[in-house]
Amino acid sequence: MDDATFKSAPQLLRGAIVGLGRMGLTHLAILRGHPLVASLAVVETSACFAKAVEKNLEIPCYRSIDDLLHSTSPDFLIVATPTQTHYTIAMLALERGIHTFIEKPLSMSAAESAALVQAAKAQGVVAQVGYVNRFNEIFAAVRSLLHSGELGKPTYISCDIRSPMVVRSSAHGWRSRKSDGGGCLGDIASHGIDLLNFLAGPPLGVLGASLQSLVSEDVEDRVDALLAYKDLTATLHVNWSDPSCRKPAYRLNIETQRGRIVADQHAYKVFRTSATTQGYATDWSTVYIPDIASPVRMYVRGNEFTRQLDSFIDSIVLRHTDAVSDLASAAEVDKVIEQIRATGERTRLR
Amino acid sequence: MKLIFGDNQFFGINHMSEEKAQALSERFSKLDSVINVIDHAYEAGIRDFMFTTHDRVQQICDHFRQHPNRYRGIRLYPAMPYAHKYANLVADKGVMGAVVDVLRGDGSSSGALRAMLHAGRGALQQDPITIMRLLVDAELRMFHDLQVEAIFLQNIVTDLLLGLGARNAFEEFVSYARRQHGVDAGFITMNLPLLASYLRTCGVERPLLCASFNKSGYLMNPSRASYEALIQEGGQRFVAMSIFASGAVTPAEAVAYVRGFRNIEAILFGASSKLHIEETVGYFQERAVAVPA
Repeated sequence: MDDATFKSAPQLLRGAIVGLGRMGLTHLAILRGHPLVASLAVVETSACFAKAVEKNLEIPCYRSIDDLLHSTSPDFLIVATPTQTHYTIAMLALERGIHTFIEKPLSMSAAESAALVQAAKAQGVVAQVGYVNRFNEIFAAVRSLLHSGELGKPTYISCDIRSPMVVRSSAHGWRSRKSDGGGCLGDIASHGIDLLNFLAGPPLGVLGASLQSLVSEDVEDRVDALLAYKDLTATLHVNWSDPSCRKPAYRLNIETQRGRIVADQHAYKVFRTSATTQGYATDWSTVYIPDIASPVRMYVRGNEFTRQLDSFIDSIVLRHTDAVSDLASAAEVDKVIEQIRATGERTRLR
Repeated sequence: MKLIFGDNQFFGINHMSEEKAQALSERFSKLDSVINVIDHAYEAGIRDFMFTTHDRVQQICDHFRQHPNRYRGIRLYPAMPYAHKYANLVADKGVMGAVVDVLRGDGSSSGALRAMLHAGRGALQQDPITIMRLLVDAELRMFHDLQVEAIFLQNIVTDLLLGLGARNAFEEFVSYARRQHGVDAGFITMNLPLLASYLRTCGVERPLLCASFNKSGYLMNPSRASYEALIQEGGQRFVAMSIFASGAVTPAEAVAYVRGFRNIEAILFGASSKLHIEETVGYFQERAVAVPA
């Protein structure tokens, strides 16, 4: 945001973060020094942790969302709790006209997500979902290239994601419980679905899917799906129990009428088909993230995490209700999740 | 200007490309290949080495201890913690669950830890500073009987604490390192100007800071200009890293750029071959920069 806009900003914002897990803490660290955020409160159900935060960080801590809304009237809310609680908390906030950022996936079902989309629309508030890859410079550049039409239309896209997140059986944590919205499909696979939607729009349907439990008892650890579009096929392969990688790794392969793009979070390479190309290495050109990255106000864990929240705050100040990664686009992901689950559960492997 | 040899390449860390990262990870899967590169660096005159507190560094430290004469004069700069070790634990068990797990796994017989675990998680949660001290001790254990010159807090933790405004943690990290381990403590950061001004308000004098510093402005937040102004001004001990911007800047340009600034105490760089090590050392020597003997 430029200086002129900043000066004309009507007022500084008061915000609250619900849930201080890994994402909640990241959001808190990114927002605490934001020039347009006057104050932040947090909601944390663990009394001990809440006390420690209050004492050491001097941030007001509430034990429940009701306590928070009873005592304060925040301009915006960040919902970083287990998925199962998203709908109730987000609905409470949206109905009060509070701008809301919700971690992904938006909710437990396509129906809940559709209701949240309606509520946000009715109130005219800014509402965004944490599909952070939309703010990754490489993925954004790949999308621009694809949409420029230079390579023709895409005919096939595969999205592979590997993560060492759950490499041994564990009864701990909500991510291992289906009833709380745990499992690879809602967790990291939802990022893959959103990335496909970001690049190609929502699919017409799910042609096939499989869900496998590799180390978990109650949830799937591997998701494979075949998605159909008009003149395009996409595949999604996600494994969150892969000890062979150090951190989550994405791999996109996009075949188009006049070329091919291979991308990960840090680089993409393009093959442009022309009369003279014959698959020589020189026909490929590579763009690395240092070539296109621009700095951020405050870096925590990656540029894209700051960009997504700064975009959310900018949207509030500028009253743009069509945020990047808005509820409508996130609700499309939930539809696909539901179809993959329905298809996959019929053919569940163990 | 001192050259510190870093270890990212050994653990498949490459900010530019996952393909390159994977290739490195495979190449350095055997300890021998890691030691081989360390030996090349030592032979090129480098005596300062930064190691992340990755589980595999234990083996490298064992190797140094077994061959004290071969690595005479070596000085180590542990950088802690190896974040991915904690990240998955935190996702699985929450912040406190992860801390308890790591401290338990450390096998420490520390009375303070036992007392706190006995008193329950509540006691632990109320006292993050004690937790931090225990974690520092746990992370440093693998470096016993080796010369540790300074310890660094990894950027993922530094920048999280900076954003959260965990003032006590910064003061205590520096004073605990000095008091308990007799070493300087520094911070790796992706937000150098913000951290420098924050540390001034915390009363940390002439902090030891390590941050990206390259001509292309890569990983220099909020801007390259703000970094340059801060370095010109002085007031901190500065270690420049990512001087090649993961390959976006040529070695000659990189060296010329950092040589344009006084107040840079050391350069942290990584390389995975004898040739690259000698090239980098050569660039600095050519320009009459003393490589530590």
